[in-house]
Amino acid sequence: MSTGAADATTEHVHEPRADREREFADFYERHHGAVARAIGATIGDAALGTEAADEAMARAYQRWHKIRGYDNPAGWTYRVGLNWSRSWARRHRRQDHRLHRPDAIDPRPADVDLERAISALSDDHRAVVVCRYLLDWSIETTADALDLRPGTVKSRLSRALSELERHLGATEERPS
Amino acid sequence: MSTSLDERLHRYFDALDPEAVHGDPDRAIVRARSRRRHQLGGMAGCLIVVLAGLGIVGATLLDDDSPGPVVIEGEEGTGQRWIVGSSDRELGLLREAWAVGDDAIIGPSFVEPQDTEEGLRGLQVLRDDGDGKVIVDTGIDFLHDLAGAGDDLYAVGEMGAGMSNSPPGELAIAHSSDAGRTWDVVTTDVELPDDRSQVQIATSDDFLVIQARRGVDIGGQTAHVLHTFDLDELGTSVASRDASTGPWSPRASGGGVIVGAEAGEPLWSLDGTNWTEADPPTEDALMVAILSGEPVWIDVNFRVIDVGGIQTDLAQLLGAPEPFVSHLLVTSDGDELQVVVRADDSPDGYRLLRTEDGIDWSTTPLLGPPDGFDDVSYVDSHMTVDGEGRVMIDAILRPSGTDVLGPRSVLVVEPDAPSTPITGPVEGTVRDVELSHQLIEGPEVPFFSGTTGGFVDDGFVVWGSVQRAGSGPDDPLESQFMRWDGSAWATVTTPLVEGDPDDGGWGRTLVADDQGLALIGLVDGGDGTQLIESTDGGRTWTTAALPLEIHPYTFPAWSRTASHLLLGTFGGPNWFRNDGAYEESSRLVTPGGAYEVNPVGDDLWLRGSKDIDGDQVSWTMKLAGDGTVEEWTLGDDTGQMNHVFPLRDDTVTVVEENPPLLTTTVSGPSGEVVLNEVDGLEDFLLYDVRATGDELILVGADGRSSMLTGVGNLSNVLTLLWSSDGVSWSRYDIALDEGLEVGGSLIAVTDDQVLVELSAKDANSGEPSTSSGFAIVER
Repeated sequence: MSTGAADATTEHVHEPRADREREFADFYERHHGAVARAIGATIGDAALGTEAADEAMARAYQRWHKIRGYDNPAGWTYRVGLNWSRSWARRHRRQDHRLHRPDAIDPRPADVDLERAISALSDDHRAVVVCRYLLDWSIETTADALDLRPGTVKSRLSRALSELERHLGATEERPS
Repeated sequence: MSTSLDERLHRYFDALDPEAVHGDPDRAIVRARSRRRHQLGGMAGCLIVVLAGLGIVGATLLDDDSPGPVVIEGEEGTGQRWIVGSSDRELGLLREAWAVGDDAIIGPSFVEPQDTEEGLRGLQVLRDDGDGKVIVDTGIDFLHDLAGAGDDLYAVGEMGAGMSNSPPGELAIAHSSDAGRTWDVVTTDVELPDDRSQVQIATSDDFLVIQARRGVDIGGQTAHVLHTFDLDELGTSVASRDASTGPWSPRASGGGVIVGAEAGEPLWSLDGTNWTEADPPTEDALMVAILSGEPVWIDVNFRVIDVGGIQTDLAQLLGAPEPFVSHLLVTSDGDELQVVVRADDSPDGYRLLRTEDGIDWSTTPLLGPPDGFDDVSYVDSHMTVDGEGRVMIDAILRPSGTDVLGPRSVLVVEPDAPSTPITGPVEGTVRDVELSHQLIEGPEVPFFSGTTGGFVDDGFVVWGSVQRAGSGPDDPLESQFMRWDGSAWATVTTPLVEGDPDDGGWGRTLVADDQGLALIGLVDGGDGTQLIESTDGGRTWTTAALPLEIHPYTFPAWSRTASHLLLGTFGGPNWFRNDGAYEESSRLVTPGGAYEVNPVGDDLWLRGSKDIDGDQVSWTMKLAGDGTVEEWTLGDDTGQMNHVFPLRDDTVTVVEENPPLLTTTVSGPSGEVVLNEVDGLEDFLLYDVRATGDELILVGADGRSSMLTGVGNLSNVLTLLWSSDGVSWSRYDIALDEGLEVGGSLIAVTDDQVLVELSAKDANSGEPSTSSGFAIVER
């Protein structure tokens, strides 16, 4: 009996391998670094972000015949890597009230107040901020990548920015 | 004008160095191929040959300048040492590491694609000792995993096959009894399933378990096959079974093995043949160890450990309101449970906790990162205990001044490493004490919250905010000093400036002790802040200038022994002033006033609360005589009151739990007592706490359980409790008329007397009662 996976494999196997790998390599070169940094910034762990991006890229390669047709393959990779990193953290008994560990961002940013404010965001809010400001994705692209409705992305982004402003406002109100 | 948030965010993220991540598409391709057996099918045959020879080339001394591991002993008496692995790439990539012998590390490592002609990645065992770094020949063609402790190590893999995307080879187990130098390999009678995707091993004292994952669904419930082998006969499986478990690796603990633990049904066994499906105490509890033949659980927040039904909150155990339990490791050698937990966010904030019964715990501070390293990470670490009782924790060190991961290293804790007992819950006692008290009806002008005062002559002086009788609720409050001379009330006038907008706050600085009365504030005709003193109960006053600046909305905290201190914490910017100099307090970045200042010796103990994201979070601060902050604790965001008080040479923490518990727990060096569970107390509801340094005095109401249901009234009895150790308590009750509800606060405490403010109201109408006032308890 044929399965979807087998059909896909057949298609995949018949494709000239060198072309496929060149195409994937090009995608990798263009997006791996950004995805790794984005995941690292979201979870606050650059090393784990890189590992998660590696894992996501490996999965992307496995499914490249399918992923290549997506509007935003990098978005798919970001979400897979992000989910993998969270799952990895659970598996490895690494629990954190906020998974984000600002100290682990590589390199250490100069805007310490903003770093703290970002670290105080929830994971979901941080993810939309990263998609919007690090990856420069639109609302629609972000929604697609995170498997959310655009309205949800807008809402989360709005709340996240309000939270950031509130944190930064409190910081700036302190006497200098 | 400040930079817009948009610009700041872009600048922030742009600053993350794009060059910090170096990728190589081959890495992804190889990684993908290693699990792509479904798609590639028979095409993978070529890969089998490639991987079969990968890295398995005998004991090969790597050709580099690696200096080998460096042993860094902790300070004398710590009983700990770091074995810092070589910092070069190969050992930096060790997945995990064991200490073997006194100065060697062994562990599985990935081979990087660029290290092989074929550009493929696999697993190998590296041994790093004083003679150099060696790729160990385990005799296994395709290595999956490594386990063991001490000199006895075990490896599992396949013979005649390579990579998981090929048909499985013969399952093989290798054993080393000389700490990984030489190995004997045997093939087994087990046939691995065609779709095995990951093969892992865990060893107990006399058996080992191999777990083969079926399929590639990582992260959820996955199917596994378990095979058990006696360590004396590794070629023949003595038991096999299917298991559907979470994604955790099999783990050795307490003489047994645990498989699966996350959101599933963990299985555990002490013999590898009879498996028990564990029954978690709560739905989300995770099984983390086996102690004395029974499961040990931890809650999903990794904060409460359950040993045989005895639950220990690690936060309370460590006296850390906000413990960093993000890197918690747990294991057991059968008789003793070992837990690594981070107690604060400093690099040396990790502790090793041990217990045999979940009741008595001890703690050993773990060494921080050695010189040359800034940080230590226990992420993806494991902890083992060898036959000699040495606890070995593998970790990654971060070289100073970098943000890169450094070498995989091992922290070794010797069995004789000093530890400090932590007393767990103890049974408190309460005894009734026969004392006497005098009820004093309050002055005509009712006092509101914030009363302070002290004993003078034959009576006492108190300060409070008042609202004149008949005035409306919007009328301003005024501060009022009143003296009770033993028979009547009299108003006390002071030189304080009339209409001082902060007089309400300044009034709280009233000190009444055996030297008389003292205030600080602005006085008519005075220049700057004045010390105002009276030795005749407030009838006459003297003033003297103080080198203190007054700032609006400050909340001064001072005592005679620390009169140069002024703490501004109320309603606005917060800072400390010390003889005119000030230090911004990062601890109080949001408004949060001290609502009590408690002078104890030369120190000031302040407690208050602050708003954090809408939650009132309690805080305690100890200011030394020179103005330095010697203690600072911040409660969690659950809203519970959580304050630290001095008691003899130590401190105790009083925690008032939120509804629906409404319990009071006192924990200190003598143990932890839940007052509501102590015989002699029915249902104690805490109102106020005062510490003298030698004693802790509580005031509250007992027998108010009906309040929890919303039916019935609060108690008409005010209960005083006092203790010099937090465990043994004395009790004295002040009973008002039936039908009243009474509240109270502590105004002053001496060796002989306690002054309590009483607020009473009719339980039915809620109207204030004339019984409100004060009580002097003679003791």
